[in-house]
Amino acid sequence: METQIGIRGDNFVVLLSDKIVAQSIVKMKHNQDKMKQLNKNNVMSVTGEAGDVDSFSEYIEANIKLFGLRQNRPLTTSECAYWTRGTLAEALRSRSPYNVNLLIGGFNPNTKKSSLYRIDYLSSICEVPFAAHGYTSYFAYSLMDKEYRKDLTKEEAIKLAIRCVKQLDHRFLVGQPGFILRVIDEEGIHTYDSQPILENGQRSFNFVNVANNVVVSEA
Amino acid sequence: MSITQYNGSAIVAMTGKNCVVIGCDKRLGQQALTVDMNFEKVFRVKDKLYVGLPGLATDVQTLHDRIRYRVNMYDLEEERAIQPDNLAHMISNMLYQKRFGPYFCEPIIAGLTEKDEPYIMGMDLIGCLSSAPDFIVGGTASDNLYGMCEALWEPDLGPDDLFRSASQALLNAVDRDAMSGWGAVVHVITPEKTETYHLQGRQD
Amino acid sequence: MNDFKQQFLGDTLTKTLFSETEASATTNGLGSTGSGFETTAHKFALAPLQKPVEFAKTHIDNTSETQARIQAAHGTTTLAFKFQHGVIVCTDSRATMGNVIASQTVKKVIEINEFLLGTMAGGAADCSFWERELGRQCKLYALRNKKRITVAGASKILRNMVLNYKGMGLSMGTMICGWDEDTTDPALFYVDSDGQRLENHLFSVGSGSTFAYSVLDAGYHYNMEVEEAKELARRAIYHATYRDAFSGGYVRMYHIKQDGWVAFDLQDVGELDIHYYPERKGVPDNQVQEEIIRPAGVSV
Repeated sequence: METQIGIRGDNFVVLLSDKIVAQSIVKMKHNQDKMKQLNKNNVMSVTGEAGDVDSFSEYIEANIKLFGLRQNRPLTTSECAYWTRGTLAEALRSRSPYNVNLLIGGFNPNTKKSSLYRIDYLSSICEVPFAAHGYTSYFAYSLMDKEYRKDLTKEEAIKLAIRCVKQLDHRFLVGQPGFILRVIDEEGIHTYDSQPILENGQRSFNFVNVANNVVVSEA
Repeated sequence: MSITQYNGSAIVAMTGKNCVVIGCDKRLGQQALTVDMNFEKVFRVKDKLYVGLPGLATDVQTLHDRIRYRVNMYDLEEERAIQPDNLAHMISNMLYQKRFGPYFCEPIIAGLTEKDEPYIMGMDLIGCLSSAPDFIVGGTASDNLYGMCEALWEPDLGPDDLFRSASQALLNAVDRDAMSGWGAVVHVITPEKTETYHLQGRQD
Repeated sequence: MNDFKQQFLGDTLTKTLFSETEASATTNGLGSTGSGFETTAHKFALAPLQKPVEFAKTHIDNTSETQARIQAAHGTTTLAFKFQHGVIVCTDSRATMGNVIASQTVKKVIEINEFLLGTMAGGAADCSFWERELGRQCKLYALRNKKRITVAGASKILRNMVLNYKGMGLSMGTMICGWDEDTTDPALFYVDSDGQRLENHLFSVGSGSTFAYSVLDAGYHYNMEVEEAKELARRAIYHATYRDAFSGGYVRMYHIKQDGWVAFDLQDVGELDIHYYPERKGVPDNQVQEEIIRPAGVSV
């Protein structure tokens, strides 16, 4: 029921996730940030079973920070992703597997390239140009297939993400009312918050940069 | 649906005259949903030794990691290149270690021996080895592959003809299997060199 | 031989004629539809067991969800939408039984008559049987009333027929599309085996429907020209076949106009992929592609 989308451009990654924490039929929280900043250039978005999400993502976050301190360099996106996969895979065959779905996106300052990894709860990993998890994938993948280009600009990628959540709001029974979007690029991590708008009687979303209030809309 | 069919896969290995071919499809799915069209399931172990891992994707990746670790340890300890039959028994043993909680993966090994003789070997998910003189297949399209290989395999094919037979078998088998396809990769292993070909396949 | 044929034919004819009147009495107590139409002209043999419905449900898999022994053909993307020039009906052509692709050339559009089309999703046998039966009912209506049945009426007959078998394991998700006599607007209804009947301007049904919906919703508006509408439908089916393992094969398209439907040529999804993404070809960018020629005698 949770929404998680990732889109990779040549030198940036866009990650989007919803903000709802649900327990049974109740929305417990409306402004949960489901992403973890792993280091200066990498972000991980996590959804899945309550409890697992917290404990697993905190464990990963702390360990990747520790790696960074010990080796005196930030881990690259692929290092973050493969180490996370390994940890999740090990847990999968233990008595207490974690039920979490992950997207790890980041920018490599040495190669000036970005990458996006998709890890599911079975810990299968793949490096992809764009990704989604759960029910979202049934609505978002065909839009991303149709609109994705390798030379997508940041603005275009955010607009593509807006189209995906707009479609979810339109067709998906349990679509969400709000989202957090992050752009990871050479300068670091930029956070955007969603702002619902009405467009010909249908709900759509604008994304507002939290730092400077710049608005990105679909049109 | 069985857990081995969750992600979808198709792998074929064929022997020829002083050569072997091993190939796989490129789909990674989650049941009906296709997630990645660039997911290879055949891995290089040595220059003339490849292993194909059809089955559950997470175990494909875990097994690949573990095989790489064990082969590297073998190299360091023995100070000689691992031979195909050594690798087969190593993997078989590794699988049986998990007899009561198996990896959902049925490895296929293809390579050339020290004397450049073709070697292929298959096994089930708990390590029962099964050899064949002609071809070994695996994955969700294995039924289809058996039919294609029975029709197309001939003894003593050269590398070019063998590549063609294996590619045809693979592409046409996955075209009748919903869970695999979206392109293919074929490795042609000869005493001189190993060549890798990416094949165009139907994207549905 | 001729005698046998004669006998056989005679027998069938008599049965059909009689069943018109005897139907409600012979349908295992399921009762008539109450719609005013003789819609229960069939008697289905049930398994000679205590719970025949349970038996059929556990042994025949109409969807991809259960692991029954008998896998009936299923898995689909179908869509239909109304626009200013009529209705576009578009489907893929794949039938799967388990993971095996049973056919890549299935016809999932049923030509009920020259003004009415039905689509097929769910159990192939259920859809084709009941929509053919619907065709018979529509013909009878026309003969009795000297007037074509409306799309609304036809879809209601179908709904009433399948409603009689609700809970018995029928699997059908269909769109009944057409253009009524003396009206300026086309008509489109969705009918499924739960007995649900809906009217709307746009539907998509089947395992790949969510993918198709996303493409359709993004590009749909009522005032499309025919070519734009056809391209939208084609694109929606193509993207559904790309992501959904149980959809594929060919794109089949129909356009319903005021004076009846027209069918268009099939389009191979494999060729559409090359048409839409000529650069992709299933190969990573940094690797050299080796074209492979398929020799004669090996069909695809």
